[in-house]
Amino acid sequence: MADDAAARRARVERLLEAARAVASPERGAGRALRARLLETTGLSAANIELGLTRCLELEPARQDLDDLLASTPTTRRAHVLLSGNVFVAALRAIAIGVAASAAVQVRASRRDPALAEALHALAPESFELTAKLQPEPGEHLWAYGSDATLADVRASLPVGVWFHPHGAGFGAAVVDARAWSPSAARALALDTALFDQRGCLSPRVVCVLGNLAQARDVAQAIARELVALEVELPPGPVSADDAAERRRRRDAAAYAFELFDAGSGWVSCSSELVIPPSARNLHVAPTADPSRSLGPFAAHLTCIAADDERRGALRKAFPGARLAALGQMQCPVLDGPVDRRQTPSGELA
Amino acid sequence: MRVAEPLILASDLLHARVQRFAAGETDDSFVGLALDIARFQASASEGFRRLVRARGASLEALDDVPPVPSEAFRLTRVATFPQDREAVRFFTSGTTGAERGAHAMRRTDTYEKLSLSYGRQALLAPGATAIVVALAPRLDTPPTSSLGYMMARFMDAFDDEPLGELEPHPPSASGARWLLDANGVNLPGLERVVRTASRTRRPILLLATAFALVRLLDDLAGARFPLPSGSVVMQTGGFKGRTREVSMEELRHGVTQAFQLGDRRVVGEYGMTELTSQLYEGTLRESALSARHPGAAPGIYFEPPWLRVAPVDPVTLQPVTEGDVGLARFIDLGNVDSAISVVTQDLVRRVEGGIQLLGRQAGAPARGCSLAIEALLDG
Repeated sequence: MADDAAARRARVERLLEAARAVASPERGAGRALRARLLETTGLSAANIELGLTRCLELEPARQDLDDLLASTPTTRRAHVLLSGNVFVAALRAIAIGVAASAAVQVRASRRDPALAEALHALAPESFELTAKLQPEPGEHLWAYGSDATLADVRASLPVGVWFHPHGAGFGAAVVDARAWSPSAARALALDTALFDQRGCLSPRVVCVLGNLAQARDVAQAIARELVALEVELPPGPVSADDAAERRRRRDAAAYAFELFDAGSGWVSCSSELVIPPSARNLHVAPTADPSRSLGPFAAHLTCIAADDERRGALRKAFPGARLAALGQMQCPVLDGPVDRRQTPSGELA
Repeated sequence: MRVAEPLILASDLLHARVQRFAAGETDDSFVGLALDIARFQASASEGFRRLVRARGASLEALDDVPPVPSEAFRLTRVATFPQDREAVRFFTSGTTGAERGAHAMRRTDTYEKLSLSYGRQALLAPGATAIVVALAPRLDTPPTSSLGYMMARFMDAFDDEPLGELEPHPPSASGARWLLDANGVNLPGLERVVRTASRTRRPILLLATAFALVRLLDDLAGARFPLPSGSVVMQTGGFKGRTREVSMEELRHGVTQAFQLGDRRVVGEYGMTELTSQLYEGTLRESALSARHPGAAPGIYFEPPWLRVAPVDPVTLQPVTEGDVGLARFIDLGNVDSAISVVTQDLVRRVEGGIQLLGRQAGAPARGCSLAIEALLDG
């Protein structure tokens, strides 16, 4: 079946038109979505608002859409399995689906189906919401979620299905102690606090080009900004299980590392790079060679924030990670999947 | 003199006090000794000092000593002494080497004295001996498993006769006593031990992990394997990461059926690498532990006088109301050189003077594609 570029582009544009409507606080759909997201995401109203206005890709550049279309294989039917951790991610995932096919089946997250359902209400012709995906040989399935979920999906696929798994990951920041500034700390704190650090783009570690004392200064500065951000971007409510786990993790980190209070989270610092749990927590470590320090985590790295000067080397060392400026880690352009660790063609089941 | 020596001396004095306390030869109180150890650790361990500061603790009461989460043993070295003074380092179970937790000890005599003293009270009649064998792999050199190390000490201390003329000394050096390897349970080896025990009219003390016992029952496939009269099975450990899980009740029933033992001759042990001390069920009627807790039901574990277990609220880490379920917080006087107070994810309840183990607290639910910390820790 022929599916020309213009038709594919039109389908994506149609979806984006619906997204602009649901993102608008002036529209009924936008207000309804905000109310629903408060129930489904566990984020504060301020975090939801910032996610919608800052991180939802509503006006992609033409070149970005060209790239999205070029990197997306076409298929008779596209299947999309959504994750529920970062609500805005549903738009990109469905956009890739509609770029791939005129027939798109989407299974929304049970925990957080709000954006997918809101988009479907305004653009029902773009995709079908379903409780069960049933891809057939030759068709493509894009799946987002934890590695365990993806392993289960992979094991259940019929032979001949093209699988695009986008699994667990995290972000890192590389900063030069000599160029460090309060605005950099603020930007990195914002990247961390958005979506309460649940996303695979959320920074979890900071490599500081400098010594341990400089890394400590960076850690303290970020911690201060995270504390300040809790006023304007409060964390979502915490369950009893979450609170218990946070207490345990925080005490373990306090024992193991130098720890700076960051409101609901913390910033730890030591000479070695370790990954803290995600709840607005960061670990800061000094490095002389960020590529080497981050090397052991390459399989999980989805995004690296760095200045222009270092991006080339980091892109070469970590081809699966997106490169971004500080403060822009949660705002990837709409040029394809957020996660670049997989080949665009997918893997054949 | 090295900078660390005053701390080593302070530690040695505390070890001596703990050993005297365990032997009942002192007027020291548990609380006084525990607080002295906590203050020592705050002076000798930067990590503990940080935790004390972070929690605003004064170390003036037991409940004011911040417990070290067991995860800390995976993140860093939990010790009050420099690495070059390590006598032994025990590793926690785990799927990968790099992220396994470790408990380093500067001296092992306190561990040995405490383990032997309480093990004897739980597993044997006063003054009795037994042929001691283990359904466990032979101990590594240097030892890396605290359980294996304890089993070896039991072999050497509770067994006063060699299995045969050619058996090396001490008994724990004998391959004939370690009856589990990569191929499974060494059934012919166990048969030889049983024949020896029958011939010499001695009971067997079989030390086994729950996992190894399941393997044995699978291998026996319903066949009986009677142990000599007076024999005891010490059952320990869970099934984390193993292929088959059975309930402890089911396992106890299977073991008593297979070995033709009364059900009170299976004694559960609870220990963990992060601790120096262990808990036991008081099921063995002729044991000193059972005499202190007559009629103790299976599933109730008793701590020795030098260990206190409290169920604590998962968030405040303060003791819960008597009878309520909480996370297990251990205050272990044996942990002189590591962490006097340790909190785990194990759920427990105080009942009948002992502790009921209720499994592990579920973690917070995984959130989509945000990498779970366990994925990194577990490889």
